[in-house]
Amino acid sequence: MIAPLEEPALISGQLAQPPQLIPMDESAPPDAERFVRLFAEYEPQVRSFVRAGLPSVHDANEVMQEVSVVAWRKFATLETSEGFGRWLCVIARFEILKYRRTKARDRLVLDDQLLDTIADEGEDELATRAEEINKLQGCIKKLPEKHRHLVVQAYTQGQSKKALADELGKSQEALYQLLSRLRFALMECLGRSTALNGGQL
Amino acid sequence: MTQDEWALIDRYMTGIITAAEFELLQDRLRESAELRAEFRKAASLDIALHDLHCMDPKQSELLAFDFSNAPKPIQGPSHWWTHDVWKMAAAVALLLSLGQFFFQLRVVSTPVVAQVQPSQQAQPTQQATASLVAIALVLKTADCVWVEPKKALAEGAAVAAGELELVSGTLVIAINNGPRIALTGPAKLNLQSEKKAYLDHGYLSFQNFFNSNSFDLTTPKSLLTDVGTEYAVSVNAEGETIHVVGGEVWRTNLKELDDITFIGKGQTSEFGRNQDTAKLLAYVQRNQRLLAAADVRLQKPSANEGFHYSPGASGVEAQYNGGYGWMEPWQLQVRDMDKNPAPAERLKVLNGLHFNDAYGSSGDALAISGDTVMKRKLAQPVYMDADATYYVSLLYKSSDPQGGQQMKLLFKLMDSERPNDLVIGMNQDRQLICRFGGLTKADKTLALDSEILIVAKITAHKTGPDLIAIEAFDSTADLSREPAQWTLRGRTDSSEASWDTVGLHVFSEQPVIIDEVRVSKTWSGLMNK
Repeated sequence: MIAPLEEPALISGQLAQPPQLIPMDESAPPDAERFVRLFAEYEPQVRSFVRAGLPSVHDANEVMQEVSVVAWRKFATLETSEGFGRWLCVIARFEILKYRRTKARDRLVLDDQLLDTIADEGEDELATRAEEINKLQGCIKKLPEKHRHLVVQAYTQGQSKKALADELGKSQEALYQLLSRLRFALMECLGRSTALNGGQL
Repeated sequence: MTQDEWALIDRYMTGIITAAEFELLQDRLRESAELRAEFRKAASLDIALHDLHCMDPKQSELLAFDFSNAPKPIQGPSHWWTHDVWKMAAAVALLLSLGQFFFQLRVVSTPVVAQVQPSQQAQPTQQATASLVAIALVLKTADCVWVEPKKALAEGAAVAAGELELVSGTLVIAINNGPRIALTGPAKLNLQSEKKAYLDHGYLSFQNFFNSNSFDLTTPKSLLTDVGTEYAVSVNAEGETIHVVGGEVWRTNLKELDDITFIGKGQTSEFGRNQDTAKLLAYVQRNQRLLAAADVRLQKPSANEGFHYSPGASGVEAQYNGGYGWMEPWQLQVRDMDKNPAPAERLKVLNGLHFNDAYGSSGDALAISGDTVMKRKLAQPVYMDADATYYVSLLYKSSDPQGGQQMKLLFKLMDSERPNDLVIGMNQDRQLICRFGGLTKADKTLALDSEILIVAKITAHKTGPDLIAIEAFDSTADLSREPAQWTLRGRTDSSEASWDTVGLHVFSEQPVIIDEVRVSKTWSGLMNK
């Protein structure tokens, strides 16, 4: 399904109606505190949601900037904060589509139908995303010290993988394989809530 | 998710996927809802990993190592708040006097400062002596024959870093930060710290259910890191066998550090020609009973002093070295006080108080008077820089002071390395007090001439604030479970104190009878003598 490049409220089909919108009252002052609080609460989960639809973190961050603009502009129309996360997801879906057609056109992007499916399912998983993000630190702490440092170093901004591989005396491919194993371990760990809580399995 | 599917997802997330692989990934994602869920989880992981450096270094132990080799200063990722709209929102928020509020909501990226260096590998040391820091407690010994009999450890003994070497029998120890280890001879274990040990040979069972800290067990071939785990390992000259009972173990091959395997619940892995699986499984069966018994032992105080001394023992010359869970006898300090009894008369062993059946007393008590301070080192300190809960208690009875006389009773946990005490007790106005990040006191006065049990619950957090809750119970209190409400509460920012000493300070012309002093990790443990 190809959605036209319009604002969310004008899109047909699944993206048509963000939930719980009421007409904007132009005279009402923007509720900055409430917006900041809600956005700060939901931003990481929604960014994960956006990331699933785009090829890189950089793309996801760019889209999130646009999401923040649109969300702020439309925030006064949101009646209650209850559906804020899903409301952001609706905005995000629109922004993902827009971004894919302009800035990521010639790159490997998921087809629209698959993206729709992934996004539909993902909207119900915001709480899971928040849980995973909170859990990650605990999972990294479980790694052997050497590997824990490696993971943190590999995700240091500006750290070149080549430089890191050179520093460790490995080929880039070997470094990639090791990091991939560690990421897989972290994926496994994120799925094991009892283990992280120190509970008996 | 198969390894192949993970490889496709990971190559997509890291941006190195080829066009052919991408088509394959899309096909698989279309077919499998389960894989799509994993795909979303991988996206979440990727975002969270890229955000690692947005964490406040004070809140993140992950950053507690030297970043000096990082090629560039650390900068936060390009987030939404860098956009003009946020500046606008911030301006609005400022006008609304809410600007500062935002910064409490979201941790902003901070340039990472170099912090502590990676810890050095602990060197083997000789076995515990009283002067070394205890890092474990012996929970159980079963038919232990020690290679060096003079290094034999008894149940309840404190264990310092060093070698534990058995000819035969089984030793069960509890490491201070939670894990329990059963070692069966012939075996040699070098306990290097609270977080590391080296198993040279023998059978070892490991449980770590009590906290989130992992423990690194190194063997000749492996580094085993637990994840909320119960596992057993057998090491001999032929190789190693590892069986995971619960949770999982991350095993790093020490010969090829990139070779990490994950041994899941119920799985057994052999490395080398050890061929010991059957024996190891039988060992696990046997040890589950032993460790379960050790669990029961944990339901007791880690330190208890019931002043169970002979009636003749009194005065400064007496050796107050009873109870268990202590490193040394009580140290006594007497100070001048008007009309106080002679120093030798300040301490007298009496019959114990009859307080409450739920709080079993050892049967004796110590009457203390004058301006008298007693201190005693704990075998297992109360660590405030870990995620843990402790309970400390003091059972006492004070006399009614005669006209105008002052009376104070202070119960302290002290850090011998730094002035960072927890003080609870009764002030001169007979109020229950607590000094921990500031002084708090209860409005209600404590009864005189009757038995009072003071309990402090200490909730230590590795990164968050540390909390103290205090209650004073009379003999009619229901002690079957811990109270829902506590009279006093104290709180500080994350304390790094190691309270290794218990102190008692009595300031009273009339004797104050002290019956029991206890430290426990559980409420039920506190109630069992």
